[in-house]
Amino acid sequence: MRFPALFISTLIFAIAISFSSYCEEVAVREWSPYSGIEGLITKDNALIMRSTSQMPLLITKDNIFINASRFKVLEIRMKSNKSYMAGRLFFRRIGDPGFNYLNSFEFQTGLNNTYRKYLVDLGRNPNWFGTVTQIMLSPINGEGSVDIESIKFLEPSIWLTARIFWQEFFTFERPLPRTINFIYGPRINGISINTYIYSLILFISLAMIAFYWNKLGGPGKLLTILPSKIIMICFIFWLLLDARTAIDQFRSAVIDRQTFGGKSLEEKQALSTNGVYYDFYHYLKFCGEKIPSGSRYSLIVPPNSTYFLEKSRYYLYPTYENTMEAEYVLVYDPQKTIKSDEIPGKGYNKYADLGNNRYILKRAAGL
Amino acid sequence: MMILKLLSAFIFPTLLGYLLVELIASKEDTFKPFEKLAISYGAGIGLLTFIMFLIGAFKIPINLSSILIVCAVLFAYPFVMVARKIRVPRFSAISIDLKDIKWYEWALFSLISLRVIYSYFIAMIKPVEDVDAFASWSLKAKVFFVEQGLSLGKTHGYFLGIGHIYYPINIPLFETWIFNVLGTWNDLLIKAIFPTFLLALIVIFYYSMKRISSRAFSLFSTYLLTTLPFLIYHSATTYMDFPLTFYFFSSFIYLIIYMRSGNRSCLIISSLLAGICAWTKNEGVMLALITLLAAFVYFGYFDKNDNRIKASLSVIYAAILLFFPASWSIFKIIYGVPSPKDQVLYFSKMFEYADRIPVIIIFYFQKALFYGHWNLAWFVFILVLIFSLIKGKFSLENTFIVGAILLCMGGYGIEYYLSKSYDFLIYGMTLNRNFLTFMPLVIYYICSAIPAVIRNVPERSLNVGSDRR
Repeated sequence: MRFPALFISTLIFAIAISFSSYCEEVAVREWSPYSGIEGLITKDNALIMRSTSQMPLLITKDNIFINASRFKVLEIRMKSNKSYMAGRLFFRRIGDPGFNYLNSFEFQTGLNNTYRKYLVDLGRNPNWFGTVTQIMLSPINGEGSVDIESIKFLEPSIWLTARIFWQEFFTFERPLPRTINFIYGPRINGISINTYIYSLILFISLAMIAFYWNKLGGPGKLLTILPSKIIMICFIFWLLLDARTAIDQFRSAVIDRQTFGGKSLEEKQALSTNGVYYDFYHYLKFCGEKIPSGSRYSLIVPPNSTYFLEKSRYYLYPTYENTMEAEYVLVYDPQKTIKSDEIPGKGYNKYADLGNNRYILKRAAGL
Repeated sequence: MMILKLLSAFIFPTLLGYLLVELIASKEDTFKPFEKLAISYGAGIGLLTFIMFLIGAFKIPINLSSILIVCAVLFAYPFVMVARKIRVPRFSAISIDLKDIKWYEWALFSLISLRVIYSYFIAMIKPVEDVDAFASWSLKAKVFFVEQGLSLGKTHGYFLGIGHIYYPINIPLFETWIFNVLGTWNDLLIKAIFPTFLLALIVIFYYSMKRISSRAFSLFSTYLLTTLPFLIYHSATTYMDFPLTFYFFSSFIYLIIYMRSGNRSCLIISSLLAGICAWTKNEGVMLALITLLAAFVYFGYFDKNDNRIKASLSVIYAAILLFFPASWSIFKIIYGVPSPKDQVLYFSKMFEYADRIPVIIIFYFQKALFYGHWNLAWFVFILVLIFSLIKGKFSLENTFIVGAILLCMGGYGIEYYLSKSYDFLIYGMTLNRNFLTFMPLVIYYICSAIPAVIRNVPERSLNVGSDRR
């Protein structure tokens, strides 16, 4: 009698251990605004703030000392008035000169105005090792209000892993410019959900073959019975995957309504010309008003900005983009990354200025 | 007011198409009213834009009055000739007792409708924002509208509307048509074109299934079509791939229906839609040629008509189909439009590029089965194909469909293998979009072959249907 009791209690203890995990919480007092955040206050042990930029940033002191090899899961409990935003957490280890994208994790938020827990599997980033001394958090990627109740680093456990897998399955694949070329579909642990489904179908099919083989006493009628059952199983998974797709489509509709709903065509065009330089559309409008229709222009924008060149052609037409015969030079450099020798000087005069390094040059007469 | 103008911009080409379909299928009720409208939408757009193209090619201003005059001249005579025969679509003839519709049929219908509504919503809530759309297709439409022509002068550098000048201009010209009817440039309202193609595709898919199966199973099959996330996504974008998908599927499926029924109206509709397919995107030429090849193989080996009829049908089919790409090619030669460098096939480098073959196969495998998010379509397709082969249940129509799917894959594969398009494969830019063009055929094959596989009944095969004429 003693042995079973001992065995069961050991088993329960082992399960309890595997499902539990120790956590390290970064207390609210550790956080302060870094950029793009207004009105940060602490209320009921929660951080309440308003984002005013595309990447609002909160930062901790540089002495939090988190053991990366021990804590491999991040849990953030927060809410925002914006649905389905992308957050990012940057980390800095002892010896790192600063923050960078390689040392960061992205996570996605859910529907607005509801507190939710977001889990991030930190162990997937190969740079997550050593001792982390400082973290920086961008809770959402745009303007809006944010309430953060807790930020915890957790030890991994089976329960947490299952929760991460579940959350991953429902991770929203946000429509991006590249979505026009491919949609990956749900992934778990970085592997397509189809891999798991095919394995399950194979396992179930083999089990059915064994069952019917045994029941019918041989392979005789297997080919009559099995195809319909296997295809039925496939359809069940097909429909489940479709339900999952429908959730993403609903989320896309919510985001688009949130972004474009109730706006004028011009506002929508401005919003669809987004990116790092999100006021580019207004600059194009300014140029469209200043440059006579039918004239030729060249555009000087920061490096790797063909997107903006094509946008300028699209919105400024019937003004023509023609670098060789340009009468006007449109300079758009709010980030001040263009070298001075890239901007024509001699023979060109400033024609109109929108401020913040956004202006138009006009070729002098006689050139 | 804007909505009324938009509606009339869609109604006019649909009416043109309807007139044409009536001319082609004047003797019999080959098509159901909704099906006829769906065909009319696709065919009408092709017809209208081709007329606009001819006007532009002769350097006549493309505006509302010139288009309407040319349409009136071209269509007045055939219209008068068959005016008495033209029938208004009798929707009252669709006598469905609502009580007969089962709850699961309502459910499937609702799910399909939701996807269509979603597509319209996503398309119409925001203006053109996809890169190739504003860099090429919609910019062309704007240039054609502002210049009231095809912009054939090379002085200002916006020749043929700039962007991908070597691609045919079916959809950009339709966008230009809408701007002309609206009287202004509006890059939000033109987006209604694409969900309407989805609606038309769904209608044609449903009725093509309905010819060989029950209403419930046809609805289920159509629902399966709408479960492809990439297909639904593209139906709300402003790219050419979705209209291409519509034209290829509808042209091929009417060829299949001809094979099944012997109805020559379907054959003419098939060749017309295949021609417009080639008039929509360069890739459409390959797809149209696959349809043509299928038609020739059928006439050559399986058609039971006598040789003279078969020869004349082949010539008519090829003539209608090739008319569109041939006209575009002549135009390109006359105006010196360059060919796309990315799509030139270097046969001389066949051996040098041999190492590309395994890469292409791996990409195909990965995208089809895992990371293209085609739901389980490819997996089920392979399963059904294997079961059909094992059981020896393969109808001639389905052999043609599988053959077309394999030819499409092979055709795109050859392009990746022997041209610079290989880079587009590596960067993941075009493979999924190319797959999209024949995915409705994959779903159609699954749904038409499954009953035979699971119920152990013979497939609906050639000449079995009662509607053979």
